[in-house]
Amino acid sequence: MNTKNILAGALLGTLSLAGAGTITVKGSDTMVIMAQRWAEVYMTDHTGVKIQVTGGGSGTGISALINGTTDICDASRPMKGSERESLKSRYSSLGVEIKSARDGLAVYLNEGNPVEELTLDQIKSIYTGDITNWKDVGGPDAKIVLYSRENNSGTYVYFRDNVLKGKDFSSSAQNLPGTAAVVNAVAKDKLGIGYGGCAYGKGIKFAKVKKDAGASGVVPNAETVKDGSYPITRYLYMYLRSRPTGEMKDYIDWILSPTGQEVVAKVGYFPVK
Amino acid sequence: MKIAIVLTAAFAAAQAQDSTKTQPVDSEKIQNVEGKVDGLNESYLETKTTVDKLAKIKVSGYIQAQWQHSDSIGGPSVAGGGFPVNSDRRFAIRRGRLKTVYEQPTSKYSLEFEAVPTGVSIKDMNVTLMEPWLKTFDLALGVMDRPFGFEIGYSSSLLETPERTRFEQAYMNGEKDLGAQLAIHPTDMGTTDYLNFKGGLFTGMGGNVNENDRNLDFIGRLGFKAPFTDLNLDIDGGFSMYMGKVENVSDTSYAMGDTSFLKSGGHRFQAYDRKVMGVDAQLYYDIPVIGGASFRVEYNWGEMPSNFGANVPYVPSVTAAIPAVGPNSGAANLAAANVAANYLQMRNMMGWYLTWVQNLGSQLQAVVRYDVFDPNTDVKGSNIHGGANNLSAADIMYSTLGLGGIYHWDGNLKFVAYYDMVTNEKTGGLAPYTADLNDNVFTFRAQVKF
Repeated sequence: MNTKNILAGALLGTLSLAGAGTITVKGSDTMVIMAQRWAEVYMTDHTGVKIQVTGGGSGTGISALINGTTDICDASRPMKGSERESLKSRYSSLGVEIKSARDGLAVYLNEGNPVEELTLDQIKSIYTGDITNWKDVGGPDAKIVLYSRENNSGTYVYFRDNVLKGKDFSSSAQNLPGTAAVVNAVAKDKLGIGYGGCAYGKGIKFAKVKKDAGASGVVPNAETVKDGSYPITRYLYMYLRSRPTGEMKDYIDWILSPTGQEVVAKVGYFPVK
Repeated sequence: MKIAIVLTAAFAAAQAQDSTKTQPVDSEKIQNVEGKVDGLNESYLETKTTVDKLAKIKVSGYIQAQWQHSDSIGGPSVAGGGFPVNSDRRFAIRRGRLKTVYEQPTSKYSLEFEAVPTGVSIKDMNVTLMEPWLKTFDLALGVMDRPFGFEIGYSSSLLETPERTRFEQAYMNGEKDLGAQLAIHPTDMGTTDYLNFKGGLFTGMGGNVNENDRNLDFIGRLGFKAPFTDLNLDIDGGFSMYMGKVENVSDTSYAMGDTSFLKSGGHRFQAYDRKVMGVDAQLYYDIPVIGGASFRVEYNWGEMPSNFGANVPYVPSVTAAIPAVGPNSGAANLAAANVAANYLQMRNMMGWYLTWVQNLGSQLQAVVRYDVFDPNTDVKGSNIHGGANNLSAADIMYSTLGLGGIYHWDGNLKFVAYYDMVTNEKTGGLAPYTADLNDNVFTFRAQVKF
C-alpha cells in the first residue's frame, strides 16, 4: 500500500466517522411540532435512522449549529449576517439554507374579545406601547395585555423586524417561553394579545389582519398565505453547516418531497410549493 | 326490594352530599393554585428583570497552553519568541484572555485582559457609541484592533495557525492601538453587509502607550463582502491604508542608498512618513462531501521608520530626553536623545501570505500557510555582509511554510498541531545568516474557549 492509498483511506475513514450516527435537530419552537412529526413519520419508514428533535428557539438552534452540537437547525427567521460570519470563521461555509415550509404569522386574540380586525399599523402601535387600550382599536375600555416571546425566538425577531419595523417591544410585554405558552395565556386572558405560528390555534382566534385601514381583513390560511394576501407570511427554514450527504441528504429530500410536505399541511403550516 | 330502594336512595343521597362537598373544595383548590401561579408569575417577572440586566454583560475568554520544539537549541522564532539559550523545547501559556462586554442599544463597554505567567496586560479597553436610528454607524474610543487588513481583526482564538504572520508581528505587533475609530456597517437584517468601512486616528504607538508626538496616524480599511448563498460561495476583501508620521527624537537618520544605509544628521524632530497599503481577499467555498474551504491572501507594502538595527515601528527609547517645553529646545537634551537606540532608519518593506484552511467533516481542519516578509525591499541578501553599510539582520527576508491540523473536540476545546518551516535569505557575510538557520518549530496547542 503506497502513501497515497494510506492518505485516501484515512480521509475516507475520517469522513465516514464524521457522518455516522444520529441526526440531531434543534431550534425553533414554532417548528418543533412539525419537526417531531417529520422525524416520527420518517423513522417509521426508515428503521435504521434515529432522529432527535429538540426546541429552544431559533437563536439557540443557530448557536448549536455554529458550536457543532446539532446537525440541523430549525429557524423561523433567516440567519443573520453576523451568524453567517461565525459559520464562515469556523467552517469556511455560509451554511445551507433550506426553505421547508411556509407560515402565516398569526395574531392571537381571546375568543371573547369583540375585536376581529387589526391593521399592521395598529399591531405595531400595540406592541411598541403607543396603543395601550382596546377601545383605541374598537374594543372595550380596558388595558391591552401583551404576550410575546423570548429574544432567542425566531418568531420574536421576525415580528420585531417585519411588523414593528425594527422598533423595540413595549416593556410591558410578557415574554413567554414558546408559542404554546403564548396561546395558552391568550386563551385564558380576555384582554390578551399574542402572536405566533398558524399551527397553534386551539382556544384562541386569529385576528383578521389588514395591510392598511382601507384594505379588508385577512385570516391566515393555505390560500391567503400562498397567494400573499395575508400580510405577515414567512418561510420556515432548516440550516445545515454544509451540503448534506448520505442519511442527512435522504432526510432533507424526504422533507421536501410530497410526503414530507403532507406532514407540513397536517400540522397546520403550508407547503413550500 | 324495600332494602334495595332504601340502599339506592341512601347511595344517591350520599353522592349528592359528596358533590356539594367537593365542588367548593375543588374551587378552593383552583383558587389556591391560581394564586400560586400568579405569585410565581410575579416572581418570574422580577427575576426576569434582573436576568435581562445581567444578560447585557457578556463574559468570554480562552487559554492557550502549548508545547513547542525547535530544530536547534536557542533557536530564533516568531512563534511565541526565541527559545531559551540552552533549550530547544518548552511549555508555555501563550495567551490567557478574559473579555467583558456590556452592551445596550446605544453604547458598549469593552475590556479585555491578557494574563500570561510573566504578567497581565490590557488588550481591549474601549467605549463604543452606536447610533440608534440607522444602526449603521459606530464610534469607538480607546484601545482596539487597528482597522488594517484581515489578519489583525481575526481573533487569536479563531486563528488556525498558532501565530499571525511575520509581517504582522513586525509592523502591527499586538494588533492594538489607542485612538478613535468610525465604523460603518449596513444594518444586519438577515443579509451580509456588502460594503463596510472602519477607520480612525490613532497614536501609532501600539497598545495603550501614550502619544509621543503631535502626529496622529490614520488607519482604515474599506471592505466588501460578496456572498453567493445558493452556491455556498463567499468572496470578501478590502483595501487598507496606514498613513501617519512619527518624529525622530535623535539628530540622526539613515536612508537607503543603492546597497547601503546612508547616515545623515540634523534631523531632530523631523517627521517621517509611515505609509503602508494593503489588499486582502478571502474566498470561502463549501466543497461537497469534504467540507468548507477558505483561501485567504493579503499583500501589504509601504515604508516604515524603525529604530536603528530593528524592523519594528520607530519608538523613541529615551522618552525622558524629549524636551518638556517646545520642540528643538536644549542642546543638553539633544545630546541625551541622540543615542544609537534612537537613530531612525527608513525602510521600504512588504509582506504577503496565502492561507488555505480545509474542513474535513465537522471536527477536523487542515491548514497550510505560506508567508513572506521582506523588511527591506531595496537590498538583496548578498548586500548584507555585516560591514560598514549599516545593513543588519533586520534587513533579511524570510519565507515560512506552515502545515497543521486542528481537531475540535467540541465547541469549546480544540487541539492544534502545527509545523513552521522557516527559510531565511542567505546573507553575503553576516553570520549566522550565511546559511538557512535551523529554526523550524513544531507547536502542539490545546485551547479552551468559553
